[in-house]
Amino acid sequence: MGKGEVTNRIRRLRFDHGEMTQQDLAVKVGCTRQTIIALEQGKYVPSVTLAFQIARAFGVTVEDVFQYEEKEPGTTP
Amino acid sequence: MTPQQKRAWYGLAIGIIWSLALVAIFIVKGATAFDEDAGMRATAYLLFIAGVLAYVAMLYITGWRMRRQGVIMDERDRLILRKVPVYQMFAVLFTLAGWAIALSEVYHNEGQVPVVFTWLMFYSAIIVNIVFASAGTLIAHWRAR
Repeated sequence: MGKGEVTNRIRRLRFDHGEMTQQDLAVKVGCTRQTIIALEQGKYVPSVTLAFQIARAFGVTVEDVFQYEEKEPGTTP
Repeated sequence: MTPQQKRAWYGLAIGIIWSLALVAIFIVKGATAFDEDAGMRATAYLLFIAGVLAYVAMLYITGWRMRRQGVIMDERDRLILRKVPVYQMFAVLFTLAGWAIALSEVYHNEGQVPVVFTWLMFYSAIIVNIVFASAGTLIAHWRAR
């Protein structure tokens, strides 16, 4: 199985929810604003718990927020 | 900058000032004076204890302020902080290796090492451990950017 990459639509969903700020989302899910920034920049993959909390904050499913893209071995990004 | 990073900067500042003060005593008085000068020994012991107390006080005060301000430590912070002991371990290991090599080379012909160096090794291991608790936090945050 190839190495995959987790992407997310947090930034898009924040804007779709009345331009929710990163701080507002962080407070809603109980994490720091730095973690939201790292998530949006794709530099951090959250735990399952945090992923569910973020999805719940937007009223959507986890799959609507996070996507897993599998890469074939040997392919370049 | 996160509250953990601010706390690490304070810790680093205390650690550096503490190290410089101890190094200054041994430079001014000379390392061999440690065996003969009771006043110097007392100063070094007091300075060592004062440094530990200053560091503990900083941890207590910043921890109290963070709790009062309701600062959150989330899963990413914990993940970052979990890497710090690795930096501390390597820093202490390299320090002790440095001492072992230097002392072996310098005192090889005498076949014995002055007692003061056992204290200096102990001081340096503790100080490096404390300094790298802070420096390690900053490095781990920097690498997680």
